[in-house]
Amino acid sequence: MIGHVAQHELRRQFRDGRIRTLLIVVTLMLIASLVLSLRDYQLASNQYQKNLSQARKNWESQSTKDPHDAAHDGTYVIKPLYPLAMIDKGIKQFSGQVVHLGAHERKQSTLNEAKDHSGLFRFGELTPSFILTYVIPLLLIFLGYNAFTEEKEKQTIRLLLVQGALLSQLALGKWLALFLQMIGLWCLLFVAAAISSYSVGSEISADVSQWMALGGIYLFYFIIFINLIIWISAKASSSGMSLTVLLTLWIIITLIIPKASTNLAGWSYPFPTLQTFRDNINEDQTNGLNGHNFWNEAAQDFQQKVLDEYGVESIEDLPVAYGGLLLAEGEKYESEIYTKHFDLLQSQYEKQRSIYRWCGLLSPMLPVRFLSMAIARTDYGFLWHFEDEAEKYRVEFNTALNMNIAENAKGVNRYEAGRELWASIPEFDYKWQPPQEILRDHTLEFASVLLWAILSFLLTVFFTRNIQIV
Amino acid sequence: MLEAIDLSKSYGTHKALQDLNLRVASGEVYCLLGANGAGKTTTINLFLNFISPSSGEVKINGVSVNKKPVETKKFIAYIPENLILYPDLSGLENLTYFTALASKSRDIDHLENLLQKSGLHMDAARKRVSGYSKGMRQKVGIAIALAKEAKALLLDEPTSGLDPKASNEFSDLLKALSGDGTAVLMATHDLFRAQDTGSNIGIMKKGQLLEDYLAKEITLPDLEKRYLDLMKD
Amino acid sequence: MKENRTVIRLELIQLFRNKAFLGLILILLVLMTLATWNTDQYFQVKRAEVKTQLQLVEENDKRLAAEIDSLNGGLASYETSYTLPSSGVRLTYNNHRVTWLPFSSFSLIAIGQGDLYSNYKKIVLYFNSSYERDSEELVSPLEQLFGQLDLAFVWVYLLPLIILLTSFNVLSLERETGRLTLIASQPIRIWHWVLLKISIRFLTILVLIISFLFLLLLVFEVDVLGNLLVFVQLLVTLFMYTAFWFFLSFLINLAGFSSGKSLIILTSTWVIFVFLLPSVVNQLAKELNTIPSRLEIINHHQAMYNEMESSQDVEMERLYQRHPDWRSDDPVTSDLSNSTGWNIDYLAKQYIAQIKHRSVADNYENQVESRNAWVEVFRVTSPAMIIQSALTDMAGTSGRYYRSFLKQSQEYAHGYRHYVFKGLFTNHSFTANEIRQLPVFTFDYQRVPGTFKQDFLIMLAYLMVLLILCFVLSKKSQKIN
Repeated sequence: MIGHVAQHELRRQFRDGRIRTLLIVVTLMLIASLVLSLRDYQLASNQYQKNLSQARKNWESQSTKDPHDAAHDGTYVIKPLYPLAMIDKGIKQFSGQVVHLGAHERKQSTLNEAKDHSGLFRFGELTPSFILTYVIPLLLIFLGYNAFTEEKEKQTIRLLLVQGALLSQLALGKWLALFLQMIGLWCLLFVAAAISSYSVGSEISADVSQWMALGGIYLFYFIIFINLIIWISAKASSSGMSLTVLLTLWIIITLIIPKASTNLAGWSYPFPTLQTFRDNINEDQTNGLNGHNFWNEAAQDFQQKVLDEYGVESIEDLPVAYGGLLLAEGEKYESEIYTKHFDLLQSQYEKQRSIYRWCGLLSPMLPVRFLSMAIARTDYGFLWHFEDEAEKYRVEFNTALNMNIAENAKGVNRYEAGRELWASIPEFDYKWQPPQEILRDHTLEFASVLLWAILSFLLTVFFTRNIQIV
Repeated sequence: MLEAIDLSKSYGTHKALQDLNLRVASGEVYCLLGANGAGKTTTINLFLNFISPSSGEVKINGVSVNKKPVETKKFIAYIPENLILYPDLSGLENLTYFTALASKSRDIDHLENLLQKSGLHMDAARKRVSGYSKGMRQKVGIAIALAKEAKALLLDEPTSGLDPKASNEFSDLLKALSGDGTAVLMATHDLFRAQDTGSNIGIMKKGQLLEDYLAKEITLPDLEKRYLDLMKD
Repeated sequence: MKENRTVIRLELIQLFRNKAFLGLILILLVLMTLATWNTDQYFQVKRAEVKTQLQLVEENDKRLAAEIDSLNGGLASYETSYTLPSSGVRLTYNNHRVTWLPFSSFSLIAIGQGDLYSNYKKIVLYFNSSYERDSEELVSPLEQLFGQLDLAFVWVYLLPLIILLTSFNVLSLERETGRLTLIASQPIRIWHWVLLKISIRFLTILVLIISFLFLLLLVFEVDVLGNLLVFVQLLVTLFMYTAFWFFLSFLINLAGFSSGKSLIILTSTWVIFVFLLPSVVNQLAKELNTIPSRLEIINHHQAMYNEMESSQDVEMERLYQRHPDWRSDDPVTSDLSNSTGWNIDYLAKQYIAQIKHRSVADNYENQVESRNAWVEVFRVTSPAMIIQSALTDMAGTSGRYYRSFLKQSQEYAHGYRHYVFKGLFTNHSFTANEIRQLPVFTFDYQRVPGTFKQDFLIMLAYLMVLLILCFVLSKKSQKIN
């Protein structure tokens, strides 16, 4: 019975010219977005390789200079792009592309791509995630808003019920018809994207399970919409009413709640201003080591510690250049302060995230988008992870340069090092956060999506059983 | 008042109406009888200019409907089979609205009188139409026609679905209207109502007006026999 | 005349008895209130930030001037040139400048690009930056991704939907209920009547929005009378945009589709204008105006720096040829063990690298500007883009304002750098008066020309096209049954 209903429903829709047009248009949009994203990804990964090796070349080809001066000049690390970012660019455009690594200071990522665009850029780009989060749910609404209301308006529902069909069977049949149409588009996108990403053959690759995870999230998202559509269509008194209610829901879920939750998160747990953030760091640093200040209490303590360690009386008796040791130790100390304050910032963000999670109970788009960005490595979590790793590397990088001073500058007036030293500094090797870790961090989001899917399905099944026929 | 001259309407090869010639003078009630698809509603729609004739002419008060549709509508009122009003307005407000649309200005007392004359109680008239029965809505429809002071009234199955009492009241209203000089053209299935209310009766089949009579010249049983004979193939 | 008033009155009564209509209007007004409140909060933080920054500069300058005064009065002495208040080193490192973009009185209507950029920029002379027009903020990128709730969002995105939902079935509903036959038997033209109904909805919504906006502006203490021109422009903009969607709805009503079909067509049009066309324009802008990666520009700067270091003497000589007034015989200026000498060397190196890099950097900025200009031109393809850009311009928070601000800041920084370097490089002792009269930044509005006239004309063209289409369709006879 359910199969028959679904078959009938599909036939009804494919005979409707406007439905065919809509399906074709959305399919074309999907293909276009995929092709563009693939090109973007190819371009970005080429540029990544090219610019990364150029940055290294610049580092290695520095002239001879004081290693600490070289540290001040510093180098760049560039954020890599995960293949799944093809589907969801997430915050990539807003979060900066590179981190400058220098002496004494941890910096945020810079080169925010969005700033290179006019304000109209904020309308969005033609990306698969845009089509997945906004367009396909809308298409599903157009396909299914009159699933029940039309039967009611034409009174065919009476005939169907007289023929012995159960309302729940009708609902499931209509559900199945929508599901089948959706799954077609879904397969097209994810299979094509996965295959093309492998064919590009970049050095980074995501395994099939991650593609499936990303696809699965959106599958749940669409199922939630299908459930709501069937339910509203069964409840609504007319097709016009059904469409109006569904469109209003769509606006609330995809536009209003995400924006409102962002504002709510910002009001509840605001980030400090840049000035306050810096002032706090400076305050912590004033009394600590900074490598250039030999005179404060912390520097005196450190000096005593070093002297004790080497069992000598004065700096002059040390076998190494004390300045280098102080710089290295200062760098570690400063980095700890930076880490403390960036961790505070991150914990503030974690609090904001709890707001997003609560709002996720009002809009499934939020948990879906957070999961999608996380799996695509284009979320805030990736940004933190990358910047934290870069900071660890920055300390290593500075330590290597400063220890070189300690080892070689003893008794040398204006010590300078050359290209061998620059080349001996190890390169930054970013390791992606393993998918298990990401999923663990997003258990609640996943639970929220699941909850939405199950509850909305039960809603459909239970509440279509007692709808008004006349 | 109402005049159809060699009027035809076809949809593709299907002839919905063929060479209809019909005159309804002031004070006459012309009842069109016929099965579904006989062309009754087509005739009324042509008078209303809802559709355009394929050939021939429709005139109201001597003015061609097709050439001056807006002007001819000043003379007519129309009550469809199922009269739908604005559910969020009361009966009185609906009447006020449609009267204003007809560019007639009437004071509220006058409109209340008309509703009462049509048989709608004042407390009902002030309630929203969403709670009205079909008969009550038809009464508002009559009041709309009265307020417009229409010279001709077009009715499409006005009594179908009304209970006999409501139907009878409706007939009385029509008689009163025609007594005041209004020309009435009514499409109906109801032979009894046609013979009782009508001054003229026409029987239509497959787009043609086969026969017409003066109501006073034919009895109900004769009319029924004639009608059934004509409906045979 | 009286009859028309009666019809209008009864139409209004019906509208305000319609729960769906009231619900939608309520949502709209609530969102407008929330949006205004949110924007107000947002700008309060931004204003406070700018104020703090300007105060810091003022206090720093005062302190320095006072120190110079007491030094010159023989009241204080300093051991190192690094801390000597009259030295250029002290001025360079301890007394940064701040440039700032003033807030428009109507900033309340759109946060625009305000969540991407600060409204101030710290001008320092020692930072080794390849990207002089950058600005630094501390914002959650998620906030930037989802965007802020402001009036511009409510109007550009949500208002059209509310308009469409309240007007899509003005005619089709009458046909579907069968009421149209009764209407059509009256001596009126159907399209006149539909136009009347649509116009009543249009004016009702417009009057509600505008009066509510006026109320909000009063509550949030915006000086409307003092900025009457902008306010009028805002009203005209709202009128045009609202009219556009109502005319579109009128057109689809006249086309005679069923309610469902009409709403699908109208919503699809909304998706096309608000999402699809803008994203296609953005995409095409990227494809047709290819710009090298910003990363290449950074690397170029680094390469220039290396190049400069390997031939520093030659480069220094060139620098002095270009700025003969920076040259000095004072031995301190070439003594690298002295902080003045060391810093002259250090800052000169950065400056030279920047000069060597500038043509590439400027070229990049110009390419970005021309791509953005391209997008600005093609904003005409969608009324949503036109209005968004018009509103953010009125609010002074459009990308054009911020980018011009950063450009002007860069120019100011160059001027300021030349002023300080001349003193520093010649070991000049700065006087307290010189500190009090350091060059000040003012934002030049003339460099962000208004686009209201263009926006107005384009919107007018849109309305004319719709009007013509409506006229054509109105000639088509209406299906009654």
